[in-house]
Amino acid sequence: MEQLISIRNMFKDYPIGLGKFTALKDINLDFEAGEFSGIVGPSGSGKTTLLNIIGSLDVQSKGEVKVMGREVSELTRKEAARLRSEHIGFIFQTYNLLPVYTVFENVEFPLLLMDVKPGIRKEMVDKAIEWVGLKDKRKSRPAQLSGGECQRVAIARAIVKEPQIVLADEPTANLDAENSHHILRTMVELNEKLKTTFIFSTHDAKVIEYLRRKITLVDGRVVEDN
Amino acid sequence: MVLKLAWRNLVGGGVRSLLNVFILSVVLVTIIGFHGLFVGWQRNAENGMIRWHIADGQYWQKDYDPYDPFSFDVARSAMPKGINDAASVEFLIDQGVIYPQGRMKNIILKGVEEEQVLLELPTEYLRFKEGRYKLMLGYRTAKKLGLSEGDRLMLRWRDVHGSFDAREFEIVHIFTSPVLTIDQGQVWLGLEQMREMLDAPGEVTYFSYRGLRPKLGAGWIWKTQDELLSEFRALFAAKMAGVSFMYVLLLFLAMIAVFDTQVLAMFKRRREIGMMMALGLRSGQIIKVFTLEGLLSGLLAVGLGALWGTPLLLRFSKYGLRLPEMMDNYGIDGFLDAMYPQYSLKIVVLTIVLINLILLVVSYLPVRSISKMSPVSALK
Repeated sequence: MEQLISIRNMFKDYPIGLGKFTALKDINLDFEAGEFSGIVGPSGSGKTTLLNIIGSLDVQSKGEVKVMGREVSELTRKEAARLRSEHIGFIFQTYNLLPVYTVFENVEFPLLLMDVKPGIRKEMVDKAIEWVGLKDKRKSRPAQLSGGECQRVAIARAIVKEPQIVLADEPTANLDAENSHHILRTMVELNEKLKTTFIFSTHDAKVIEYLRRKITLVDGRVVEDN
Repeated sequence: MVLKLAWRNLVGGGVRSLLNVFILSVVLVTIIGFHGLFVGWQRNAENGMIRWHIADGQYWQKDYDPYDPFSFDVARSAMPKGINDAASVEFLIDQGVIYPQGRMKNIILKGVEEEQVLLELPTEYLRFKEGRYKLMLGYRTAKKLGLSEGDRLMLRWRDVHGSFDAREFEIVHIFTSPVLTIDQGQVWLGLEQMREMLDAPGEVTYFSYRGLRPKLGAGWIWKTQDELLSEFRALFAAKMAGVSFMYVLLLFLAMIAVFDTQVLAMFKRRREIGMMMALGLRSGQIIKVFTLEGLLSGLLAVGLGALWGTPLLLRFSKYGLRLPEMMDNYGIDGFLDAMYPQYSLKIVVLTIVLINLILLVVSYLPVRSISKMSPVSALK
């Protein structure tokens, strides 16, 4: 299997007053293409921080993090933006949809950044919206959708460009059980169909059920990986 | 892509964007209308002065000082030879006293060539051949002194020998002119009448001239239109300072309104911007998108302003701004009962450019600080 992400001896510190707080300690992980894995652990264990570093939204303080063969800490802002734009999809706990855009426009956004031609773009957006079962809501705005529907839009936006990696930060935290299962089943299907690597951060038992690999993080350290 | 996103943001903004655009269009139309009012006033006043009194310029007898009535006795000479009569209007000035309804009032006596057709001053009422002891005055002076056409008015003056003389004159005409400087504090007589009263045959104090200017001797000083209008322009410039202040204030208000909206929108939309960053929009592109969004609202305001403002401003320029009667007493040249705005292309273009420049700046400033944040901070 192709290795997408490699993390070696990685630390992440945050300055606090004159001292520092180490959020991640000596992390060593590898992720391969097509994985459906999750970083699990209690709140404050460093799950989101790890996901942010993998997604090149943040950089480590020490160690090595290679995503698609590129060292994250060496990327310029422009290069990091390009990496995210071309290879990584994000799903957030609070959906983070663009409120003034319709469902179609929200899903179309990553393709606009990649300068995909209008005809192809429309096709890809329609396909992604269909995958998440929101064909009849393509003209609705986020305010007109339920939480579950918003999260499905976020998934469609994450997978529309068919990225190699999708990072999902607590994607079911704001959803009820039925919606959670629906969304997770959708992601499993997409993972199987597109061979996209999914990495979750979660402490939700419902999500953990679906994971093929669980990495347990406690106080910034990996205590279990199976 | 940047344009598409900016347009989408603007349209998606709904009522917020619409209000922003509408307020901007109001500011734009108000500035143009307000400025047009003053430009119209200035042009009307200057044209009035030229048509009623100045022509292309005036030759003044070298001792004439309009601010020193005591100079009037000596500030007169025989009309220079070789001056085309049809191209000039002669004036003879002195001081006098009138007694309207038993009160005494110092007044400037102005003799004007009765047969002239160069100026709009209705001098035909003063023709000497058709009867003596006639005068006319402007409606402001008549109103102030409670005089009407047909009234008789006692006039006292001093001739060249220093002897006082007095006579009753008939008010044959009260003229209405936008030019204050030929109305207030003066009465108009026929030139021949004045010469006879002062025993100053053939003499003039100054004469207005139109056409190619003849070279005269040292006894006459040429006053150009610009020189003769300079006093009014100075007064106007002082008033324009106030107008400019209003202009700046309106622009400032527009800027604050937009800045406020933009800043609020930016900080409210910080997560949104963070999300855009997370999805791969670069800092430069974020700045471009949100700055362009501001600029687009400016351009839409120009369109909206043109849509509702053009008919309004045109109507305004046709019917003018009606003024209350008491404005007559304010001593302002240039209008009678209404001010008629005139719009210059320069000010329209300048206002549009300025507003859009301001929009660019106030849209750029807040987004610049957000675009410098890391996506993680923006997403918090």
